[in-house]
Amino acid sequence: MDGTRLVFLKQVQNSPAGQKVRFLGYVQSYDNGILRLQDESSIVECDLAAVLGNLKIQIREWLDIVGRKCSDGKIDVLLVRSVVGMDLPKYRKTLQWRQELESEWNRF
Amino acid sequence: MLGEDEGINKHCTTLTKWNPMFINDVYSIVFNNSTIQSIGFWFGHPICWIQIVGYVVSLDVYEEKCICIVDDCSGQSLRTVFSLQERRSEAQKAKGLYPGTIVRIGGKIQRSRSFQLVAYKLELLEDPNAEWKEWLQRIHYRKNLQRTQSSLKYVNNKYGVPCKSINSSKHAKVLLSHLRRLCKANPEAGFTIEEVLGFLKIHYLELPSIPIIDVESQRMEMLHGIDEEAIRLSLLSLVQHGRVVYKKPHNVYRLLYSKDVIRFVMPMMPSGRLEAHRVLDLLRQGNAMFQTVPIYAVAKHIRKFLRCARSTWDEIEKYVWELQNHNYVFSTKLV
Repeated sequence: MDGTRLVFLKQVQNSPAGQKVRFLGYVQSYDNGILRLQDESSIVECDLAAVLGNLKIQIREWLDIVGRKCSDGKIDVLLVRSVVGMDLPKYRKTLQWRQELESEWNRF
Repeated sequence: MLGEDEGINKHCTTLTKWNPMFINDVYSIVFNNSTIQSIGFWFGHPICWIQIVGYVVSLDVYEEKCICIVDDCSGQSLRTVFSLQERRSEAQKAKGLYPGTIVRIGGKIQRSRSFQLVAYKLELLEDPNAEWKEWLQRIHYRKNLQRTQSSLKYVNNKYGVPCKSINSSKHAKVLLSHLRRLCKANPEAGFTIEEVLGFLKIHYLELPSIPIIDVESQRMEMLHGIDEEAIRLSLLSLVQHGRVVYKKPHNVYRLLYSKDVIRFVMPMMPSGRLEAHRVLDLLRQGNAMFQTVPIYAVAKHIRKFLRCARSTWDEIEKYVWELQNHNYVFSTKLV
């Protein structure tokens, strides 16, 4: 089973097609099953067709997304959960540190 | 469980506690195929109980067990098995999981046809801040274990895998203070192991014993502190941490002094920028005996030196310092 890459939203565009990614973003818009998520100035389009159930999407809500990158740059969402209440600065700092260390650790 | 052996519990906390790990590190645990119990080695430390945190990828419920695949985005996922017969309450809890749930699972690694975690404990992490805190904990724990890395010994072992874990960190710490005394009169001369043993005996100095975990016998052995092998092991550890260097290959050792590093730092200071990597390059080019010194040892000397410097230097990124402009405060007192 392929592993998921934990990234910032701005790094999604650099991920290869077919890669499973996980990232946070807030809801910029939600129309016809297409969710546009934003973080700082980066935006990603996510297709919620594969997600079951009645999802209540609120504009400006922060979501944690797991999905697969398609060749057209969109994300086919597999899992979505709300992260309302998350300390975003601390999360970002921790993720950045984790990414820096992973490249150092995986060298060996 | 090995908890019956108090010696092991006292000297080997990694064996009896939950070790918080990323899943890709779980796959790097080294096992001895000859042992029955699931004890492996991580950075040389024997471990048995591990704890992972990640999201549920899938859940399969069978008559006697639940199998849950967990992914913590470290590059690999891990199959965890909840037995309805042996740990019913945890297995019942696991039945209620669904994909996307963030979980913390503790258990033992089982190596049969595939690598899997036999789950003993399951917790749901519902607080959105819980998961990144667990990542931080794992980062700190890994760094700590890596820093106090134990040596692995391959002794009379037909399997070619480690069966002993040696933790010489306490011994090495005390040895270092004795070495500073030994070298005080003539720092440049260096020392041999024989000279160290002689010095210790003359001055009635003591060293703590070194615990060695033998996984095959599942017992603790203690190596006497004033023993050539013990001194050799600690010197190896001190070389790896940049406290000691080989003056001549594997024969004469020498302490690494702050002045060895700072002599390359001072000429760089007028530029207003210091880089530990550049200092390390110059140190190694100057003398081959400094080849074994790691970057973090150089950085430690630089930091200590800069703390006492008159001017203010900020570490703007890892191992890089820049001189800060002073803000002058003018007195408003009328003269």
